[in-house]
Amino acid sequence: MNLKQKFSFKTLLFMIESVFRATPVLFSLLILIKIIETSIGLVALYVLKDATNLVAELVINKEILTKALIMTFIYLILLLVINSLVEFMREIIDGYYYKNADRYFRILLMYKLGKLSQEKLYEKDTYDKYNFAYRNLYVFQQLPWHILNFVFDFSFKKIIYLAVIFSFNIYAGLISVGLFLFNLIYNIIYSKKRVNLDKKFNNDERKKENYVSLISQKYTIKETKVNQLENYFFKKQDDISQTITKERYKILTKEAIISRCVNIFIVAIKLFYDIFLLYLVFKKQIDLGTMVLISAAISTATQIGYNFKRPLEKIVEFVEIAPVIVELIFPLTKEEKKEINHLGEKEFSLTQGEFDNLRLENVSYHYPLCEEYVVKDVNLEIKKGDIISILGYNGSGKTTTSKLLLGLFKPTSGNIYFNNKNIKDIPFNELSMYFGVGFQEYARYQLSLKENIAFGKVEDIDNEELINEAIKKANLESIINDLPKGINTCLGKKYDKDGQDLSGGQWQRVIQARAYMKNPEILVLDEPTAAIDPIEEERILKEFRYNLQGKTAILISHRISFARLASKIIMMKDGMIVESGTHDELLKKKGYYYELFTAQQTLYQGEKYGEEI
Amino acid sequence: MAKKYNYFSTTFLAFKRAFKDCPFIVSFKLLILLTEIPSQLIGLFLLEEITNKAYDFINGVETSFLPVIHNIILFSLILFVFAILNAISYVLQQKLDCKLRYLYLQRLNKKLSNLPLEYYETQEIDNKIQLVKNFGAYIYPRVSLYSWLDIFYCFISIGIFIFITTRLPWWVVLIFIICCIIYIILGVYFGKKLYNKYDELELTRQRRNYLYFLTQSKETHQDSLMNRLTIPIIKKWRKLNDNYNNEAIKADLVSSKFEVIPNLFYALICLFVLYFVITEIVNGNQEIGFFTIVMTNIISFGNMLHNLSFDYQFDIRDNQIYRSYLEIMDLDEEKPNSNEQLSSSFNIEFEDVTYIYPQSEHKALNSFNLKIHENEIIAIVGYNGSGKTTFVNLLTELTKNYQGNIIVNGKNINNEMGILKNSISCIFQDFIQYSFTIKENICLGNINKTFKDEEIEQILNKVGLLDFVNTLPNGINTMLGQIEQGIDLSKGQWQRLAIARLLANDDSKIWILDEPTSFLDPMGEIEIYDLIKSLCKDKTILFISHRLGFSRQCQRILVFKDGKIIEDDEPDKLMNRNSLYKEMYETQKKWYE
Repeated sequence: MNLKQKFSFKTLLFMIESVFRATPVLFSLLILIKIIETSIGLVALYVLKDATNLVAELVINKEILTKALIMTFIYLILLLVINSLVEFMREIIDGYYYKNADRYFRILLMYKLGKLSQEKLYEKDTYDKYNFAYRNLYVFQQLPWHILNFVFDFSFKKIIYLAVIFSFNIYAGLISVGLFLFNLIYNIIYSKKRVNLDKKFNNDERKKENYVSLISQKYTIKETKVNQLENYFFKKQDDISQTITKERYKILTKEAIISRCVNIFIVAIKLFYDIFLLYLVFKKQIDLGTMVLISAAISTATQIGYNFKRPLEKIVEFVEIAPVIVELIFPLTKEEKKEINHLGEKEFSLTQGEFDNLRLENVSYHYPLCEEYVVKDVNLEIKKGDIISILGYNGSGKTTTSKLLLGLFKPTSGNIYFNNKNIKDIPFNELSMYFGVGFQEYARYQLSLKENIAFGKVEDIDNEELINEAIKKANLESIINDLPKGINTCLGKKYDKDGQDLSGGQWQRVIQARAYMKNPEILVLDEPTAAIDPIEEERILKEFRYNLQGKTAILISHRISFARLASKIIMMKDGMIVESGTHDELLKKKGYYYELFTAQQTLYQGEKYGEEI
Repeated sequence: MAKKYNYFSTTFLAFKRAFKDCPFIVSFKLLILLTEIPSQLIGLFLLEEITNKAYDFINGVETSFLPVIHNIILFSLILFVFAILNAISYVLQQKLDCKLRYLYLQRLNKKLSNLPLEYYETQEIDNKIQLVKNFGAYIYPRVSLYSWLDIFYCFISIGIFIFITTRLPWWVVLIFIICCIIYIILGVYFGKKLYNKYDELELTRQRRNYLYFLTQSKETHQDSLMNRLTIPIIKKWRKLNDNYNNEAIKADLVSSKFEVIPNLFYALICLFVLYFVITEIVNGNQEIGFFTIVMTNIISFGNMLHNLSFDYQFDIRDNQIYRSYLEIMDLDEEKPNSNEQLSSSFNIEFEDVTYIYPQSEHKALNSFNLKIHENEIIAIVGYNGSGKTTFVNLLTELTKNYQGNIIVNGKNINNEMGILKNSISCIFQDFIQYSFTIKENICLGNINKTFKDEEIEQILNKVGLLDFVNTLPNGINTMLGQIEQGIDLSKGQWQRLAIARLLANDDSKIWILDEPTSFLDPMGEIEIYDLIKSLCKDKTILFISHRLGFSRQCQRILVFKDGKIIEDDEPDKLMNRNSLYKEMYETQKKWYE
């Protein structure tokens, strides 16, 4: 994945603008609170000075006891109560701000990815980028917050404190500035190293994770155990783990030594400084309160704590990842902005009238980053009421052809016409309403069974009649009866105690219900019975025509049985249609279909294998 | 789970473990903790001394500078030495972190690889496994050491602060201590409440995150494009997200309130204490430095109290995770594999075997009886969910927790491990697509043997992949899969590779083929059948498939239904009577007429 995009200042401005757009009021409030927080600290310092001086005077002048107590109390109230009140408000606003910004950006990302064409998603680089964005979005949206912390807690506060020191003594000021800068520069370098450290081991960590998952995941442990590979994988991951640990230890120790040296140096300077302040008192240049004030100011000004390091690390991290994420989620058109704000769903309607015909003319296709054509010059017409069966070898382009038909892929050359209209001119959203699809690599949602079915036509998720009809067509009743909460059972145990795992065969039937849910004009099924037992498969085949109710179907399968259902068989080889026609026509032709059919037929001839040897 | 751990035993066991893992550094850290007492005391004395001397200078009591401040210089030097000790401890801590985490994962992974399959199939245990795998290494150093060091550190500071305030009347100190205890108890109470609240919300959070990551999965993306699911799923996510956030903000509010009210309370106590400090000074019992140390430390003391009580919620969470780890380490491991192998003639007998999956009442195998011996070619057919997979799990010794007996060559193997495993090779329906090189993918079938490149090529040739592999620039050393930027194969090619893995183990006596051709086209299917036919001469083959064409050529058919074998005979005999097998076979055959 190419992440080496230059960070530009524009990205930052853009980012802040969109954060502001996400949470205008909260963002402003946050700034206000920060200002109050900073000034309280400063006022408290001066109150401490006065309080100390007053107590020092007390011994001589006992009448000011009340005054001294009041000053002390103000100091405590300022620091403890007002400070925690402000912090209380800041935490609430932080919470709301972070959650709103978080919501805004996550919706944006999900929306943008949802709009992405499948072709684009299949480009490894694009997918990796989205993957990266999904995992790192939090850095992105927390940034303004970190910048605020950085600006106020750090720069602003430190500058004021440094100014206080300067106003008292120019040399003290200079030394403090020196210490501060030293610490600052060192920390920037350190933060960068920290961020890079994780990156450095990224690849090794991934390898290690792979090995670990082979010995500790439900889905893989079975095969690992049967092949007795537990120890082999364990040793492999242990080797990597050892190397990473050693390397990491080396780097961390080196950095720890440097950082501690800096720290010790600062401690030394501070100790020296206190003696110096005492000397100034001795020379009667400052009073007792000032000494306490300056000593405290120096501590605050030169120390670089967690408040500083974390934002800094995040900012360094951000500079590296922001350009990638900005590229993915922006620009937004006005319509998109509107859609995101309202999240309204489009009405379900067949804008192109009833389905009449679908035509592929000289369609060729290759994947965007691969020059080899997977579909070559395909011509095909599908009319209303047809049942088309696409047959062919592995890698012959069957699934790709179906995706071209569905509009998921755009042909590299050639045209596809839907009801005699080029599908380039039909919005994808409208075209998709005609199709009910069961993909070979189908989506298993760990949600309720009802949702899993109704997602075929999500507009009708509350329409029980439609759902029941889909259940009937896919013969799901027997599965539902075995589920603890019937149709509301969650399919998967991870997010629901009463959830239930389905077998591959059961899932395939759920997927068929999903495809039927829409009562689609064109039903497309890709390997619909690969994991289904023979009896159930037979039922599906028997009831297929009845369930279709005169609508159109496209069936993609290795199995001859589906071809026998079809009104037209398309034989594909190497991306081309090599034969087409009805079963009888193709058998007479004695071509590829004949070869496939007879080869399979011999398996059912009933010769006993044992006698052959 | 046999043993129950509580908060304290967990912490103690964690500490014991860490001490064994890294005795030197842990001891050093404890030592450094002890130096905190003199270090903090001297820090306070230094501050007091400086203020007192400054006061003296201002009032002209002292007239010379250097001779007066020797105490201050001495204290400063000692503090400097302590700072160096602390720095060393910090540097050593890096090593401690790395080592503890490494050893933790080593132990855990070793354990996980030896757990029986059943534990992974029990949702509750599997959740724990994933939890300790993902977070355990991060919390281990904290649970075992750091959180306790922090707490001791707090106690030392508190002790020292109280030691200093003993210059005040005893009842003032007593009231102060009582108030501090109330403060801590309140903090722990609210911390626990917050933890419980978040614990309740955990499932909502997980569901929300599931939806979020769902939208970026490749399988669901095409589905959501075709069915316009993007907006509905975002809406569903938003609803969960808002739910979660509202609850979380509410919970945070409670704990934030906790910060304001006790702080006010604490301010009042402080004023109370300071009043006495000031009167002591006015009465001449104490010097001005006493005021400075109390004043500057009373705030940080408050923060410390706050942290002590507030961090408690994280301590509970970490403790829970480590407890799960301990529970997992207590689980029974599989018995080590013996070296026994089946000889060229063998008998395996299942005698009234019943198996029920954990957390289920359904009998996956129900009084199951079967005998198999050498050189048999057996087809297993049956409905989805009729017990075929469970039977394979038992035969490959993945699951031992059954009722009834499995007898090999007249010997009961219920309490033994290895003889069947050592003699069986398998292709599962959902075989693993290893992100390794092609060669490794094959070698994993027989890890004890070193393969020559020619042997690998021979195997590839047999499964019909050699031509393809030869077109690759790196040949058999081509990396596959996503993890190391390898190339991706089609499902059909992966399946052939899985068969190649099976062929790598020539010595096995039994082959189990579970739907070995489900992703292959009809010609490829026949090719593989022929291959199996030609290679299986001295083996027993168990062939599971919904495609019945090949089954007719086997010697024996087993029809599974509801965890039992309902038909067990030669195919021709089954065909000659009214059998379920015949019914299934005929329905499929019909399509080829």
